[in-house]
Amino acid sequence: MTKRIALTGIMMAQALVLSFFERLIPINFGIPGVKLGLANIVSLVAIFILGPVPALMIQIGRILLAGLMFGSGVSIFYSLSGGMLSILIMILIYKTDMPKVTIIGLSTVGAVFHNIGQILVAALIVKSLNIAYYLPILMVSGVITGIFVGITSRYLVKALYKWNMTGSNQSGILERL
Amino acid sequence: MTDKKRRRNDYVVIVLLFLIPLLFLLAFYAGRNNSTADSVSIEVNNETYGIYPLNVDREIHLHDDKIDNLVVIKNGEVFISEANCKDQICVFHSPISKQGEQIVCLPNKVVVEIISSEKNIIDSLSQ
Repeated sequence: MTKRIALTGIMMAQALVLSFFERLIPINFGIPGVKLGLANIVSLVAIFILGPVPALMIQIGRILLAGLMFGSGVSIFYSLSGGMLSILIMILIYKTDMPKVTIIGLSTVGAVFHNIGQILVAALIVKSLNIAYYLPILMVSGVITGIFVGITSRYLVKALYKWNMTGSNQSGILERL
Repeated sequence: MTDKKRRRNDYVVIVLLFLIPLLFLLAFYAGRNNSTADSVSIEVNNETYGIYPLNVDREIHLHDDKIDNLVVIKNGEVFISEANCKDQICVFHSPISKQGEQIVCLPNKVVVEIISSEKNIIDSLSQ
């Protein structure tokens, strides 16, 4: 139990660092909202080695801290809506195991729903559904980055499992990778 | 290790999530070819600020106590050259010129969109 709490804290810190690191990358993809989603690596790994509840806590903590530390006012609502929708959908799929996908499929779905959540809030704020014009482009980019994030997470979970760095009863996760 | 069924489902999910937006994009590009994009609509705070022709070069200064955006129409393209918002996403946005393209400055609630002043067939059909 203590190990689980410690791991949750460490992973929240890692997620925060990845959020910060992603802001440092000076690539402008030309379309607002297109990003790598590095912090999702931590969410995925947390779902697998710690379980849904710590993963949800890490996500909430990461977004609030990142928003307060280097966000600007409204930006926290975009990250919050995308992040919450994404983590909840991923947890739902992981829990029910419907559809039966690996961590890579899970990551892709999470990335796409992150974009959907952000577009929903943006549409609410400017009160125009026209902004959904961005959605297809964001979804395609989400699928591409989601695959790579998924592959990275897969290697991480494997390594952490080998070193016995998991929460209490996370048996059988290797079969689901 | 990972069973084949899971792997296969992965492919199905990824291909579906890739194809659905591509279809929307195709429909979108097909739909805008037959329209005549000739105007720029500027919206501030959910209200129409003004509609300007694309073929006249000009600078439109959106200014009040909170917002400060400079919209530039040049050579049939529109871009935002200056903004007082923190993220500057609208300033980095590439110039727009085609029907339905938009530049949004979310912090200042500014929406710049290319429209056509004449109603095209699709618009009148869908009403």
